[in-house]
This record gives sequence, structure tokens and C-alpha cells, in this order.
Amino acid sequence: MDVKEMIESYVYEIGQELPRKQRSDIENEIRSSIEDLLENRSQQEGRPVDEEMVVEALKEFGSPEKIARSYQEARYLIGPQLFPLFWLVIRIVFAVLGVLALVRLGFMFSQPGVALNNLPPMLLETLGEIFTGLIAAAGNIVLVFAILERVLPKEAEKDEPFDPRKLKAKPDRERVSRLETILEIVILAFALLLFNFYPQVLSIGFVRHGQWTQIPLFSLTFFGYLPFINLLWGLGIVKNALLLRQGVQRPLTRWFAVALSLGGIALVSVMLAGESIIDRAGLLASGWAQAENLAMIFQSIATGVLVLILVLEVVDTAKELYQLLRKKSPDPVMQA
Amino acid sequence: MEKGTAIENVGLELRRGVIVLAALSQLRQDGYGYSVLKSLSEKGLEVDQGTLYPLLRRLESQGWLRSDWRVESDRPRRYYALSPEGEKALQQLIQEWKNMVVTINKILEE
Repeated sequence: MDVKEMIESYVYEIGQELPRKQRSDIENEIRSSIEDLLENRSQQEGRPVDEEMVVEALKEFGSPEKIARSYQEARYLIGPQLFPLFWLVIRIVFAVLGVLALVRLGFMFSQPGVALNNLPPMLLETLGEIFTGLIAAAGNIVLVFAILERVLPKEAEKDEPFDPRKLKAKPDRERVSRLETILEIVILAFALLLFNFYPQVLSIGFVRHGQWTQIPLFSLTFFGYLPFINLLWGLGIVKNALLLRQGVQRPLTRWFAVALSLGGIALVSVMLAGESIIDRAGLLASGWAQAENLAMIFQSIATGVLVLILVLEVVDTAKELYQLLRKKSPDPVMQA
Repeated sequence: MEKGTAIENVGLELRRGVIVLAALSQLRQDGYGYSVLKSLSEKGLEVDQGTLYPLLRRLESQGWLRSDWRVESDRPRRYYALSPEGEKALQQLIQEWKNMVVTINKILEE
């Protein structure tokens, strides 16, 4: 390769990395600059341009990739303007898909007639499908945001006057939401009343031979668990009442919540492992044509709900433990 | 990050802003890329080719420089010169630089 070919190859390689619109102009400018450099070197050293001189000059310029990069502005698939929204959407979609996947797994395990030795391949297949679904969802979201990045006009830097008094208050993790706490108390009290004093409401009603017939939904096994459920719900009301009084989370109430969640996990695990909480026999004895299918559906729903409760309790426990064990950084303003 | 690299990066950041001022100051009269590079080097400011040439194009695209191709002794060269807008920008940047030198010197002498 002679010196001219070497320069042309160098310029060509830079051009390949550049946008077509500017390529020829930048190539001409780089070629001209290299020739200027070589002319100057040749005069300084008193010898004609040779291969060694060209190699040295091109090394000084830098690799073609480096030079091409320096002519281009930073390019983003999803730029800093859209990234926070993109990240929010990804988290929401993944959370929803995660919950749906757990419900699906719950249903899968609760299907009657599923042999134990079939479970591992079924589980692997389902997990594979869930993983593929997550990747596909992420890919579609990235695609949509990449298009938005190119289509939406770039927002000019906001230069509005800034008033620190209008800043939103920093959320206090220790502060308790009164509305949420009251709502939780009401729901727990309602559930206690319903399951203990009006269990007949928890039934399936239908017209049979011209008469309204009701069949209890839950089995005797379920009502065997009721004292423990009552205990957990009752303590839940006590915990929320304490929180309402304190207005903030304290280590004691957090440990109380952890203990309740662990109790819940233990109880739900026993319920999942034990006999069915659905009154399957009662449904079948009703003689209703759809009883068999209905029993199967209710069984699946009950298992799905129990699995969901189990997961939520585990997440709650982990959150409370994290808040209890994390190191709190000192407040520099308060210290000063 | 290594200590040496961190210092180099801060040094590069410091030089980046100054190079714009230095390059503009050399283009009160027409000049081509290599002539600006050489002129800065002779005055003690070494600038990388990969930094200066793209910078000249960016300054042109923001309207501070104008350029045209000229053929001299069978060699095409792109000549740059300050635009009227670039003249104004240069004056403001010079003032900015002088203020900054005074301020930083005052801080460093404390």
C-alpha cells in the first residue's frame, strides 16, 4: 500500500462511520488537514513524504473510529428527556406482569389431576413463557420510546423562575397515611363480622326446581382455621389503631407488623398444604349439573388468592425488615 | 477511578472551554484547520486534531464561524473566519475569561 492509498483508506474508514449527509465534506476536510500536516513535516525534516511519516501522522490523528466519534453528537436510543418516563412504564408493566405470572402459577398448581412428577417440566415451561413475555414487553416498550425519541420535538431547556417555596414536601417514610390506616381497619372489621356472624352470605345461590337454593362456599376445614384468622385480623386492627394514635411508624409497630405477616405466612402455608378450603362435597351433593366445573373453578381461585396473599405477605415482611434494619443517615441540617 | 485519570479528566474539562476561546481568537483573520492548530501550538496550547476540527465545524453550525473551500497550489482547503455574530461572542468570552482569571486568582491566593 503506497502512502496515498494509506491516506485514502484512513479517510474512507472514517467516512463509513459518519452520517451520509456530512460524509463527503468531512472526508475532504480530514484529507486536506492530513496533507497540511505532512507538508509541514516534510519541510521541517527536509525529506519527501514517506510511509513512515504518514504512519506517524495518522497515529497522531488517532484511530478512524475515534475521529468519526468526535464529529458526532451523543446519540441515544432513549434520551435523558424520556428516560424517567420509560423507566416508570417498565416498572409498572413488569409489576403487573409479575403479579399475573404469580396468579397463573397459583392456578397451575391448583389444577386437579396434576401429577407431582409433571410439575417441574410444567413449571419450567411456564417460567420460560413468563420470561419470554417479559422480554417481549420490554422490547415493545423500548421500540415505542425509541420512536418517540425520534418523533417528539426536543424540549428546550426550561428557564422558568424557580421558587423554592413551591417545592413539594419530601415524603416521610415514617409518616402513616391516616386514610389508608382507617380503610384497613374498616376492611378488617368488616371481614371479621362477615366471616363470624354472617357466614351464610359466603355461599353460592341459584334457582333449583323453582326454589332459591344456597350452598356454602367454604368447607368445614376453612372454618377450623377461622380462630387463627380472627386472631390475626384482630391484632391487625390493634396495630392499625396504634399507628393512628402514633401518626408515625415506630420500630415497635414495625416489629408488630413483621410478627403479623409471619403469622399470616404460616397460616396461609398451612391452608395451602392442608385440605381444600372450598366445600367441594357440598357443591357436588347439590346435584347441580355445573357443580363439578364450578368446584374446580372455585378451588383454583382459592389457591390463586392464597398464593397471592402469601407473596404479598413475604413482600410486606421484607419491606418492614428493610426499613427496620437500614442504616439511617444523619440529618446535616438538624446537626448543624 | 485512578487518581491520575481523574486529574487528567478535570484538566481536560478545564481546557475544553478555553479551546473555544483560543480557536475563535485565531480566526479574526481567515485560517484553515491546520493553520489554527499550528498557531495555537506555537503559542503553547497543544490541541488534538480530533478535538479542533470537529469544534470548528460545530462553531460554524452555531453561526460563530463562516467557511469556504479555496484551492491553493492544486490543494483544496477549507478556510474559516469569524462571522459578525462570532465577533460579538469572542468579545464577550474574552471579558468572561478576564473576570474568571481575576476571580480564580483571588480565590487561589487566599
